[in-house]
Amino acid sequence: VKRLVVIIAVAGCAGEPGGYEPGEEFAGGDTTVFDATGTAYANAAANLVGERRDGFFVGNSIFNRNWVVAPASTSGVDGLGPTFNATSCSACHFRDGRGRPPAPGEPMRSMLLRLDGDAVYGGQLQNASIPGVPAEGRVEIDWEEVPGAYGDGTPYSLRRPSYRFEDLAFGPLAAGVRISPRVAPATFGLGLLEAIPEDAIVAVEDPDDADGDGVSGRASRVDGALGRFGWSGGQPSVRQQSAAAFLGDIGITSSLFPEQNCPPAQTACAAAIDGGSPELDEGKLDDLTYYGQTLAVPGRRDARDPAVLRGKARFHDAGCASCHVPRWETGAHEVPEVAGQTIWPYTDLLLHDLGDGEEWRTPPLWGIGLVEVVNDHDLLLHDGRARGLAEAILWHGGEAEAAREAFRMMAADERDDLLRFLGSL
Amino acid sequence: MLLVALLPACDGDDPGGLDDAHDVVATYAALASAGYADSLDGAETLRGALAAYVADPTTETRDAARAAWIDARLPYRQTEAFRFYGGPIDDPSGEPEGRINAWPLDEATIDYVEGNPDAGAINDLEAFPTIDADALLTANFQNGEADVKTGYHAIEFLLWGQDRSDTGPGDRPASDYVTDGNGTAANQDRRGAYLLVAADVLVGDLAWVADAWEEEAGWYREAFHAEAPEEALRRMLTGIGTLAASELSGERMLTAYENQDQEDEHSCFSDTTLDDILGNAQGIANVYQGRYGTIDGPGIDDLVAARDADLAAEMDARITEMLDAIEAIPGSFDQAIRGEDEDEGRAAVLAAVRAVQAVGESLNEVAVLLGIEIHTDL
Repeated sequence: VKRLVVIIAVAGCAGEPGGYEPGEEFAGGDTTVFDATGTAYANAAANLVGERRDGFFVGNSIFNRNWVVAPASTSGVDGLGPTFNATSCSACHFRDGRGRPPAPGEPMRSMLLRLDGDAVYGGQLQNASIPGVPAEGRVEIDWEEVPGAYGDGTPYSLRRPSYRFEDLAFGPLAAGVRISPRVAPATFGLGLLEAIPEDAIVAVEDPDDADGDGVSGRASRVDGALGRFGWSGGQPSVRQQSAAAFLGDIGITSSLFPEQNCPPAQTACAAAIDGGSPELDEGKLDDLTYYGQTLAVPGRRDARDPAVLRGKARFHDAGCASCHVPRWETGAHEVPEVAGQTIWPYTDLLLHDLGDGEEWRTPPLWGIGLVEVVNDHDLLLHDGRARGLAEAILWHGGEAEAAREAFRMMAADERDDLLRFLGSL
Repeated sequence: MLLVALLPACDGDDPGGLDDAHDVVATYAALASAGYADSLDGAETLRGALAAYVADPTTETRDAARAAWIDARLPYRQTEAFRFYGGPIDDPSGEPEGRINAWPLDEATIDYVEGNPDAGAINDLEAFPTIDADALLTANFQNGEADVKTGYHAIEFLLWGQDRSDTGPGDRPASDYVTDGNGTAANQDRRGAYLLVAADVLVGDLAWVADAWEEEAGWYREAFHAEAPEEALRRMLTGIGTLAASELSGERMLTAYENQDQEDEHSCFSDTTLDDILGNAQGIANVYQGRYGTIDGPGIDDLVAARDADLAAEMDARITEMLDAIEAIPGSFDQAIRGEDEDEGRAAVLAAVRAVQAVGESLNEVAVLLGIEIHTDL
């Protein structure tokens, strides 16, 4: 266990890690909004007032705005593609929330596949395109049920995805290409995560598992900066994350990523009319960044409920908090509303090996109990394979194997308590 | 914005506290019914004018069709006060709102654009061998929300054409529809067919929404009346609150003001966006006051007046200020947003944004007063 976690657990809970901690309902500190409805992820930070909200509204509009094929009368939002996965941010991050894999027969809308090792298709498969340019291809998912059982003998079944490529425009993918499917993550609370001091995160790193607890968090480094955002911690800032998604997912160039995403073999893509250089002007990128930084974290429900508190104790006992570190203090930030806050994101922002051959950044758990209310599904993990919180825990392996086993061996009422706790986040 | 309602401590002899709301709910349903019926009428008249234009494409018939389009928008833009709470217009099954009123519009998937004379379904004989309702509706939204081939703005594009002008609206010639060999652009017959099919689809979609609110047998209206007054009022206040606090002031006005993108506006081909803005604001006033056309019934204003005279006076004043501030915006909206912050147009737009936001804030206070929780962020 990493040192800081121990300190927090002891200092914060007075020796009783499952106990109620004053203020823990305010998951996002002073930004917190208590909204448990379908708009739970969509609110402006509670402490963002008056004209400080202007940028939030404009950013929200850019987040929802559909980009169109160039040249269009609406020249400020043209330049879609040439290849793309979506035409707006909100198409995937619906209601600022979480995407999911398609149901059988549905097209893939709010998830995508990253590729590693194919020069023709590039780093991401774009399954849509503007007229006159071929889409790269599409993906079908086959699910396989994998049976298992809790320690008390109760059976469960997990589903494992496999991916089939169809309609590939430039022939088969390169041999040995690695694919990494990812659903769109929720977009609230990003300013707070950005405001956690880098040295505090680095202080809990334990890349060589020097303390021998089986958990070896490693900071993601992106050109020297700490990678905090994205499923694998690939982006250091809200601004860069937003611009990277604009290019990779919508095909919109910006000051940070000025070149169209057309690998050399895709000549029609390269020849298509663009929407200006860059297509996203700096003011829009500013506003979109501000929007992501100031989206409020939803407040917790039932934080003092006895079952929730019992579940919280189980969460700590099982070791979940080793990586899903509950509490942080934010430092200085260009957006003062997110600075100096006590927050409860339940992440260490470090990379961990969960046993599937890739390293994943610990995703924050705040707001996870509201996914179903906001997004009408309960599919979790990077590829949406888990149907609900229990399956998500049961898929944990690698560094999290001991924590998973602790959950699997719990009595049914203890498991229920733990899930109640997670549902209250 | 979120304001959690402070639930009033109900005393025993007044458990509901909203007994006077039933008539207000009934007025609202009558407003919705009349608003969509008028929109349907306007669309049918527009369809007639489009048929006359396609049959005999001259500058006169084109201008008559444009005038019919402008008239048809008048009632519709006021009905946007009935959005944002999952009512018939936002019904997830039929997506009528997107089909009727989506913007911005991916015009290059409909017809030719600057630099690409072969663009769009009209010029794509392979993907669209016939232009009919099935073909257009199947193609709708295939590549996202802006890839919309139907609705008011598709018709607007086919009447006015691309607006690449710095000052005026689009200027599509009537000869784009002339089929005797002397026409401009290609596929004039398919363009005419497209226009008529788009009109049919618009009429059909509006008829579906109007039927849902219809006085005698409307399925939604019946269910709406059966709701507890708290729930009906929640929907009513969510609709106008979201329009005021987010959609109109934020999405449609402040964003254009901040970005200064000419044509990043609701009705960009015809440059009638200012009318859209005023119509939206009028729709908010209609619902709050229980008035539209010949209807004048108990409104939300009466509920407020019976409970808090100060807030009632503040709301009345702010509604008037909102409408006045929008009317004070000079010229066309896409011109008004340009230039320096001190310029008359930009100052007027920002003042109007603040006036619409103020109505949104007051509507949130109204919700608190009535003990109802609403969320008005989009």
